[in-house]
Amino acid sequence: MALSRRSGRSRFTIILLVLTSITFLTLDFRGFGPLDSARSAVLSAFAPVGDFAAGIFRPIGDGWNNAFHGDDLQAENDRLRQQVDELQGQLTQGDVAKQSLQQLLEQADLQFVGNIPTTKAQVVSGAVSNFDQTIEIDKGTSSGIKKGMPVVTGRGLIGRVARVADNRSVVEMVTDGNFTVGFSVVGTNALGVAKGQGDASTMRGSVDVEREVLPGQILVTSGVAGSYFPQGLPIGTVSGVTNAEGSLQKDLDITLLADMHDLTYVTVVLWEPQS
Amino acid sequence: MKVALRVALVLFSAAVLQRGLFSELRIAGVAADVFLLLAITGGLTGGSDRGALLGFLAGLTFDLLVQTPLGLSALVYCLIGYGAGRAEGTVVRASRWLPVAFTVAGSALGVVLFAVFGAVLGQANTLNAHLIVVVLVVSLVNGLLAVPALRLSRWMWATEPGLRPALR
Repeated sequence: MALSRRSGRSRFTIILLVLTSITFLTLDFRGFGPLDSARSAVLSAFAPVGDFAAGIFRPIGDGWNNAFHGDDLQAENDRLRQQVDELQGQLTQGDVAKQSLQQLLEQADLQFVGNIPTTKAQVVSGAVSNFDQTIEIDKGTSSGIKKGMPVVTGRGLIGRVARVADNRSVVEMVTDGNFTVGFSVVGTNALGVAKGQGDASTMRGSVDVEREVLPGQILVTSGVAGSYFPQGLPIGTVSGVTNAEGSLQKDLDITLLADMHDLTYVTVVLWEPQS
Repeated sequence: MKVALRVALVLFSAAVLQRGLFSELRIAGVAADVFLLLAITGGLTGGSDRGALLGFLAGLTFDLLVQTPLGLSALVYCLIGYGAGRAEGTVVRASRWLPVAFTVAGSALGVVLFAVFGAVLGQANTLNAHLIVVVLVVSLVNGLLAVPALRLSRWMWATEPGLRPALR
């Protein structure tokens, strides 16, 4: 009898908790303000705690990386030395390429960030969970940052601000599977949409099948009315075009211009999405 | 110290550890999930009621730290905590290694449930080949941490921790 009563109470508890979770999910999907505020408050409260903990645990993390990625580090060291040599030779070539990108953008009447104000920020941590593609930066509302603002490096778009507190922001990366961005192909009037793939260096895009798009072409944010991004932020280059028979769209493989593996400092473009 | 206070202390410590330590110590790009571990061991030592409640609170705390939909971890972890609680007694008293094995299996199930529910709710790229790696690493690490987590959970639920053997 007592066991049955206990079992009945357990069932009641789990049903209540499941319904509460579903309520939270529904409110979150509907953009319920207080939940956003709660998340921002936690982000703000955990900034000093997280930094303190990271400071204490950093030696453990470093030891871990040395122990388990020692070979990788050695290989990376060798690779980097080789790269330094190559890069010294390519410096001039790199300047030319940068100028070419600039010229292309200017020819298309586009400016990388242009006169839009920006603020630099340091990346303080990566994603906390295994299903997030985010980074945390050390600037927030006190520096003029608002939710939805684009985040770039010198090479191109890397994400947008997903959550913001006084002195902290969480940036959703372009590689996140839920990230979409409208693009235009530089030098053409082709417009399309690119989506993150969960991969650190690629996105997948689609354009109208009638449009001519070739590998190597540069994609920038389209900035069409209602866009989440201003016009002209470089995204990536087309590395492959697939045209499935009967499809109304061409699929594009996009290689990102920004190096997502090496993010120490980023720039937040203080541009608010048009509602 | 009251049970509620101990639960709050454990959840806060878990948040600090997850944010400051475990998110940095990644194996094949995968971090441990101490909140899922707490939900399982809390259920195994406290029963289904407490397991479900602790799972819910642990999941909700985790949800506040990450960018996935708020309530998703709470939903999955309360179900896992409840399931672990149903096995309380049989599992914990059967043998020394059964709770560890149960933690490994529960962690694997928790990660898969999270990915499936996430996909149902429109989270892209939760159900992909990398999920196998996530399942393996989270299960393995949670299995390694199971013994101290079980002891911590017993301490958390004890009505008079000073008088009872907290560390069995």
